[in-house]
Amino acid sequence: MKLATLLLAMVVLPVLAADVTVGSAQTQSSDPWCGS
Amino acid sequence: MRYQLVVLDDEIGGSMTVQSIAWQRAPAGASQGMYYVAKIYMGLCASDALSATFEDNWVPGSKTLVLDADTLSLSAAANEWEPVPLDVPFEYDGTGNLLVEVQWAAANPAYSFYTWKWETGAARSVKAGSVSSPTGILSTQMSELMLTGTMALEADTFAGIKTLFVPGGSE
Repeated sequence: MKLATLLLAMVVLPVLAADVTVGSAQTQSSDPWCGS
Repeated sequence: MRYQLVVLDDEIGGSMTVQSIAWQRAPAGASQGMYYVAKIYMGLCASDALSATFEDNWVPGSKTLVLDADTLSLSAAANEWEPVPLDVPFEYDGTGNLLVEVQWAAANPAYSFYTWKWETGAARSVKAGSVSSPTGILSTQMSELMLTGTMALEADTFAGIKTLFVPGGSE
């Protein structure tokens, strides 16, 4: 029953909240906010 | 300031409705920043490496204004993420690289809000001191980012999903 519920949710709710992190904290920026 | 960076399609992993973009504050400087006439554009880029000419990096027709603020205030403790909610969510279709351009006309000099960046190994960012500058300085380093939104799962039918679990593809 639980698997069926999960599969039904996959059909009915086709979007997923997501956070995508790009890169890592290596070096502090040389300019404020964003800047290389 | 005019700043572009490119996020590769495989770093995002599929189509996404981008609702906010975040920077992680580095310990240097102040815990807040204030930027005037700030704009963020998103669109597509056909290459994995940028040109020094800003407008050449956009896939024609894809450049979209997603944030337009007279004053944009950023505030975060050291190493905290500071999300910037977009005025208009960006529908990234997952078929190319995501190009992000940040512009601001002036900043409050009392605050210097520094963020983390990383070495990408390719020319992934370009920056100029003026919004009106058509070209900038290329760099292999770019801001560390977090994109937040929703990702589409692969559309499928219930019967199709069942075949993934049933040996031989049938009951």
